[in-house]
Amino acid sequence: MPAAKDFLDTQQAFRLLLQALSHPGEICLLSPRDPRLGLPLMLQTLLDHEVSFAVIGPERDSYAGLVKNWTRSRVTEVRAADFIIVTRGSSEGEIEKAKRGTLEYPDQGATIIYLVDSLSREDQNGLRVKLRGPGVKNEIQAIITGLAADEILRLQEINLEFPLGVDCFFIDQMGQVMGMPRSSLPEVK
Amino acid sequence: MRFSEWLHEHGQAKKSRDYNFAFINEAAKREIRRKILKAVAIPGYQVPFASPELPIARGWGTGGLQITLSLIGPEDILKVIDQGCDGSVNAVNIKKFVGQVTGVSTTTDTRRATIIQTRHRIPEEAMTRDQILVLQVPFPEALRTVEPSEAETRRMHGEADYSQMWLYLYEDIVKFGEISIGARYPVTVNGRYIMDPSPIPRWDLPRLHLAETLFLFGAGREKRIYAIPPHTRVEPLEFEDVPFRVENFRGKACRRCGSRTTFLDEIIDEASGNRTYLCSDTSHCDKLLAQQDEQGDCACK
Repeated sequence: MPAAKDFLDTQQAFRLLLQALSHPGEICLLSPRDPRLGLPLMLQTLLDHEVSFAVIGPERDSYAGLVKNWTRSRVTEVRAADFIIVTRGSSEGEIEKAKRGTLEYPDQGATIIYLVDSLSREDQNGLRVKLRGPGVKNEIQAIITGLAADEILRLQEINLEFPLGVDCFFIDQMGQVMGMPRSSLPEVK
Repeated sequence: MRFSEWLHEHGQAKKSRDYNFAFINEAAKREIRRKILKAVAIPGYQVPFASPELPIARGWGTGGLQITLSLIGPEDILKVIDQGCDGSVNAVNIKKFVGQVTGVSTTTDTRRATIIQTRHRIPEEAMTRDQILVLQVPFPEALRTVEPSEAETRRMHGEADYSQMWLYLYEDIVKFGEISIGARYPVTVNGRYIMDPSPIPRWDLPRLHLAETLFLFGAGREKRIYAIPPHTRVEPLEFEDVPFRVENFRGKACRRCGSRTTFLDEIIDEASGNRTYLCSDTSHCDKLLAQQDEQGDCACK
């Protein structure tokens, strides 16, 4: 997978990530030039030697090697990681070990990045997730293909004790990204 | 692409002076960006950040400036205001600085800007979802008035223990008949955190509530970033029998444009003692004047 990094790419990527997180459920195209650049661009925008990451799912080691190469970030256990990359649509419950922050410092909760097949508004086959909460006017629906339904239920449980919790990004194979902060109230349809 | 190459391509090589794009180095920007995302995820919560040195003294808008520099790209159009005014010293200096280290174009028109950095006002014109308002914050902690210890205010926020704040407001009503806080009026964000909205007047608070725009708050000296995402509930603290109210300008109008629906600055003539009023948002005032010129009338007559 290629890695591209310069100040303009990461600046634009950050603005899109910010848009995605401040408008949960909206789908933003991270890398219009080359969909394969979406994930490396996202990671290079957010990760560096000051933060740590963990990988959950198949090809754990090869992903960890790539991410280290792209970002110079440190690999660690899920329970200590600032960023957690879930390579296939379900963490099989491992996500429950993720850092949720403390009441004094809830920002220390982890950021989870799910690699999914596709994000859309109209796909008939995927998981329909309805979101409410800050950033959403009334209600919004997104369709996520390649994500297990029980993963959203797990995230619901993890974020039940707001402000403790984790924040999520979903990135698909087309380089599209969707945000779901801990303040969102998701519902699987 | 390196910044120097980009500047060269865009014919702005003279402006580079070997600085990184937007002055702050990329590692520091990454840290600020991570913190901005956490601030958006936990509306109203103050996220600590490193707040690196800038060529502007802390307390002169460095928190807002660091957020702006971490957001801004070559395609952005920047507007900077200080107490609603595009032409005051702080606003002009920040605008010049950002222009010099990024080459972005600047504007005084609220509608044209993609990023607006502001000190102590929210523009009168409604902002859209494609714009970001960055507020400079001198004192980020709303509870500091009632509790001097940072560790204790952290605990209070963590446990949503806001009884001291409510007691303070109650005592204010007992003393003065109403809550006497003008600027920095505390608000509750998303029904959870009490937040200092920066020293904007009460007039501006309703514009934070369920807005289309993302609001980012930066306190450089205090090293804190916090945020209000779009469509988020922002409610001023009030009692059932003493409701919140904004400043009262009944019977007053702007001396230039005649507006009776904007936030007004009171100007006292030292010689005569006469009081007159001017719109605080200068670009909005200019727009209203221009509209009147086109229509051939003047509301102030």
